[in-house]
Amino acid sequence: MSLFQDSTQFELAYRQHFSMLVGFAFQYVEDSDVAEDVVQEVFSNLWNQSDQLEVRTNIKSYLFGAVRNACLNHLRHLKVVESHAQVTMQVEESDQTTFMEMDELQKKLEAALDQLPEKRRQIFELSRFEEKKYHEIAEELDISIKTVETQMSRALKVMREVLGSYLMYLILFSLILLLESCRGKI
Amino acid sequence: MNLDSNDIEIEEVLYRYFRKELSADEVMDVESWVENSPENKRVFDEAQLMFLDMKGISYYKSLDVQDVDQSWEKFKKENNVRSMHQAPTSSISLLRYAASIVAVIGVAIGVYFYQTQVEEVTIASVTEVRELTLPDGSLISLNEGASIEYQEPFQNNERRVTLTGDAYFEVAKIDNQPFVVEIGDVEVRVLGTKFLIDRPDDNSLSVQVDEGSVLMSYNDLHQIVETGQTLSLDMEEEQLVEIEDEIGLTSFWKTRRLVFNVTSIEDVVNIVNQAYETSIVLEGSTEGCSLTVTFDNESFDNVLEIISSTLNYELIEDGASYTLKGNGCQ
Repeated sequence: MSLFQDSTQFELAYRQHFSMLVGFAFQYVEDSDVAEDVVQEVFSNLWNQSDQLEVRTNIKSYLFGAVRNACLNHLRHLKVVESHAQVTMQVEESDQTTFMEMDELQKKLEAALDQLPEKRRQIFELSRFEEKKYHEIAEELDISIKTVETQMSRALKVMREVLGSYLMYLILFSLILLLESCRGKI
Repeated sequence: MNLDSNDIEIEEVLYRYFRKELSADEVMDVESWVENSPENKRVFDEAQLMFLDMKGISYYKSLDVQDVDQSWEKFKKENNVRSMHQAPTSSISLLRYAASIVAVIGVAIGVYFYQTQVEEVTIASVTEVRELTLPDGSLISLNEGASIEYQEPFQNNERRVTLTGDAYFEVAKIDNQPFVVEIGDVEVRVLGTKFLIDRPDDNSLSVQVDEGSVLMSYNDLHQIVETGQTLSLDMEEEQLVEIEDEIGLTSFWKTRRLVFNVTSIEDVVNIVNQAYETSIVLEGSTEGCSLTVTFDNESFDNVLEIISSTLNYELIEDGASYTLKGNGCQ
């Protein structure tokens, strides 16, 4: 059974998710050309192997998971991400019930941010979302860099507690059942 | 910077490492710390994965729109995809339309399950009445804007679906596996076969049973609705009332059928206007005028024609507005 009944369905999926996936990939690879290539590659695999792939979740989750995987693989080739990620992935393979639900994760992240004390949240957001350097944050809020460090480490701890287990245990390979032949390649 | 301290401080330092905010000396410190032990390496790898994923999750929605048309054309060429139709790819409206219906299609193509896995399935009808068949063979018509969710396969020996909006059900009879429809706090448990759920607004709901019977429950209220009955629930008052809808206006979207039985012309026009979303105006005398007729899947033009010829009314058409003018029926 083929995943897509016809090319129109595939085209719709492509058109709907492409931009978001490229944006998502960019966060990992930090190069817009590479991000586009990665996404095209994922769609290409999906199209060319759609009769051999079984998607165990909805197509959006599959795509985000596959793009994340491809990005990590790319980074691993660049030696930016080291072997542990690979180990993590192998562990995940056995857990077939988890999958990456981006909207859900984003909600969790927002909920976690909401739980932070006002000041800590402000510092964390200036750093994470506005990409401000510590010394810029310290100046802007008229506090010491040491305070920024302390507040950041506490905020990160909360983030890790909320998202950590989620993220560590969720990997793309749990999303798809690749035939043995394909699995060999990865 | 202190890498010999506790975990949460290390995590913060690593965060700055990945953010490239550390000085050259500090970077070297981190890198030699990583080399120090496999445990340090593991902490580093995990922190990096966490850093990347958090970044991905936080920003994945907030990006500039890429040129999808161009990218799709490139993809099509490279992967030898032949379009089924000549898509006017530059048309914004088509893309909008595609985006709106893709919610449905996306779900449809997502519905490929691994055999033993439980999946949440959502099916929505966006712009038209949509017919679908559930895995148990039950048929459902979703009115515009309605959607239905269920688990595939059904769990706990019941066929439970969650409904938003209006729908008509023809439930396949399976002994020992009841069919349950959840609409917010209201539960309709099916003991029989064909019924309609109408959701005029958030605080009311009616169930009309054409065949068999259903059990309707809301908090402590429970009522069996039998064949031919229509029960309306007022959630604010917590009241269940049997309503008469012999004419069939509530289910018209599904049945395309209106039954008039010595119904006054005022009522007929009023109901036809609601059913066909028109605005026929009555003029002249209506005294003694009533109709006994069943419109079964009739076009609006035919309906008008039948009313005017039966009652000897004059039909005046002016663009999209219609007037029926008569001299009474004594």
